[in-house]
Amino acid sequence: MGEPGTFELYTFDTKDTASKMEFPDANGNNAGGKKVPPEFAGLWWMDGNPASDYVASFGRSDWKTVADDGYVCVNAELHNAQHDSTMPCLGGMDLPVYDQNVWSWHDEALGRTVYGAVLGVQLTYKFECGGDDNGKLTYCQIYPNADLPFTSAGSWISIPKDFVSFDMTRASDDTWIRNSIIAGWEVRRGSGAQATRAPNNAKDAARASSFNRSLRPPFVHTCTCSL
Amino acid sequence: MYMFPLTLASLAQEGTHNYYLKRITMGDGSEGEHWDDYMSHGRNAAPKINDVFGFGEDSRDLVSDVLSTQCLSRKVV
Repeated sequence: MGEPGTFELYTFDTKDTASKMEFPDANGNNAGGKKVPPEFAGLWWMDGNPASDYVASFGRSDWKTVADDGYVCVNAELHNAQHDSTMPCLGGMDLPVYDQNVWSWHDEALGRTVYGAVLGVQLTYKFECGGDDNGKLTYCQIYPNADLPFTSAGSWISIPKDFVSFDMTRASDDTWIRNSIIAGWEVRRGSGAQATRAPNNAKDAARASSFNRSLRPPFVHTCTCSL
Repeated sequence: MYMFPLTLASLAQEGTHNYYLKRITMGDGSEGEHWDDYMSHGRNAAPKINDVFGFGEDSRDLVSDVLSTQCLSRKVV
């Protein structure tokens, strides 16, 4: 969780991104003694993201390991659904999406509106990672956490993994590929077009159907930040 | 405040939530591998690369456009 308080948006020139945003140094060190794995150093552009945000940073995150820090993962085993493989969860960190200078937004009405919603629920993404590619993490499960108004004051809820699951898989030192599973449906980019893999079983199919029905209009169509 | 679940609804209906995290700035502040693509206003070709398991190659012809200005949040003192 980031720092509580009141925030405002300000505009900057895209060419000045590096000087305006906070980010981990080459060793993964952040301000205040916080630290992330070095593979998350610098700034990350969300290329192809259909939502109203551009750049993400782990500059206010603090990685804790299972082995050394006693971090307790949401799931001890990470399941990479794209490749149907599992691996031990090695640690985790939070990324407070609403916090200062770590997440950039489209300079337009929708970007500002979505940021307002993100701030309202203090949206925070929990990253839990594992795998080993020459000593570097290869896979992260991402859990959206929100302080929703129907919980008791100050409490948190995690969006159930059955409903929405974000993950990312390492491609190179400078590229990760983001995939999503929504209500049991895997959404990923296929050859030449978006490809959607059907639920694995009848239970998932029923869950997906129910989820879609329950959240269809009259809800207003919008989009969100989406690392 | 109530928009968060709505955003999930949007994702569920759109089913197009898939993209690429690309480093544009290195930890020392220098330009990263994808800086030029980031600044290309969507004119550069999208690099073709699979993940470490051999999946996920970008099928787009071009990278996405980034406008010349954007927004950040700051804490109000």
